[in-house]
Amino acid sequence: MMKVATADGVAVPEATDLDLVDRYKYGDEQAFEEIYQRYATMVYNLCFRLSGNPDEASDLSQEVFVRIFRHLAKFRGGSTLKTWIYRVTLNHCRSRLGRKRPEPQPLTGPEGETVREIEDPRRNPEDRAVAESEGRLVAAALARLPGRFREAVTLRDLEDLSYQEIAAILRVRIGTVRSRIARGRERLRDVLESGELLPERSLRAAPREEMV
Amino acid sequence: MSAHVTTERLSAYLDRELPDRRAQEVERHLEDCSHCRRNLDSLSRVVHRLQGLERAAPPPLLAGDVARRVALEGRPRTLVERLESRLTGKPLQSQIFNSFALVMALAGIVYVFAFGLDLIERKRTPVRVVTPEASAEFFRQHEIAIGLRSELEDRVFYREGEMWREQGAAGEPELEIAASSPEGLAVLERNQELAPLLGQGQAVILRDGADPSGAGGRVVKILVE
Repeated sequence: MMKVATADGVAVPEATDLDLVDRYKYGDEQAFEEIYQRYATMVYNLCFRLSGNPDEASDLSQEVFVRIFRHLAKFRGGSTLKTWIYRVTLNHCRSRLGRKRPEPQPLTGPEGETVREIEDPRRNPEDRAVAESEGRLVAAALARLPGRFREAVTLRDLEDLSYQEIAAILRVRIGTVRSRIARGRERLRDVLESGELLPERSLRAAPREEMV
Repeated sequence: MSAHVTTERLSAYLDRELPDRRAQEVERHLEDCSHCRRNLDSLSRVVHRLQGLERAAPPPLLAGDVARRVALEGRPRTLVERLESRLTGKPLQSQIFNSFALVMALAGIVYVFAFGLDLIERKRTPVRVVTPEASAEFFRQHEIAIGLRSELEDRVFYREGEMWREQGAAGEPELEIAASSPEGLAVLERNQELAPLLGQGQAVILRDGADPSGAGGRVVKILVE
């Protein structure tokens, strides 16, 4: 169990997810706030990667937390809370977004920037600009993937989950997870290596039809 | 392994999600196959670029928006919680108790459904008060047929008409005495357990003065006039 240092310097054990769920079930509203603090970044980022739009990600995240709030009392601990929240988020995004592709974000210029990244103080402004440009490019490529591949790749490479965890979230077999991740990466490679998303080329590039 | 390694297997190899034996096969193949090494390298670059994507911080207003939405929702309470608040007004820690309370509540619901109407009917039926007169009449009507038996302390009396006879006091009584006579009062004093049995116009035949084993004594008949 992790320990958290308090103001008076005494280390107290950090509540486990199940502790928080129990407290919530018994009416402790503070427990839900702690769950929010613990999982807000995870939920928001998954919504953002699946929708491709920061404003929509914000709306989706709100709705996801309302769903969590409504249904948390029914959480029985059959999976970890993290897996359960991922599943709630994913299902909600699927039902809200349907087969809609994420909106492609502008690839140039910080003017339209509405996403607040978690800042790394070690980076200088030039490095940050390069990282932002690269980030937009990769995000645009990811947004082009069919939903099933995008989900699997996001959970693996951005959320750093194991195949087993992903299988539990998606409720598919591990073989399916392996296949979706590989095919997603393969497509991303094709798009990124072709350079078709580079700003000077994207202006000329015709919209591509979905392949799946 | 002669054929090239599939992209799916190389991808799983990158993620260390292959069983050891399969991973070793891939490694042996990669030593000799530049095509698969290039494939692996390009996949690895993609993964590296994906992993380089920054995590976005949730918008600062999100927490407040969620709090407002949640406040409007009001938390739906579970059946157990509703029961708990009714029973105790505070949370109960034991899951076992929760399960027990739930089972008992369900049993109570079933009981009320099954017997509730019957209970209500019983409550509405006035309690029948059995008066001594009614009881005596009842005895008169049924005593011969069913016989009456009374166990007082360790003594047993049988009812015969208006007369009680003690078990073991067989035969004709040696003495018939009135309950109000000095000797009758003395007998009743020695046998106080008879008082509940004797009403107006009744008699009892008993063995008076017997030792605790029931031996000895004399058979007497006491009349209440």
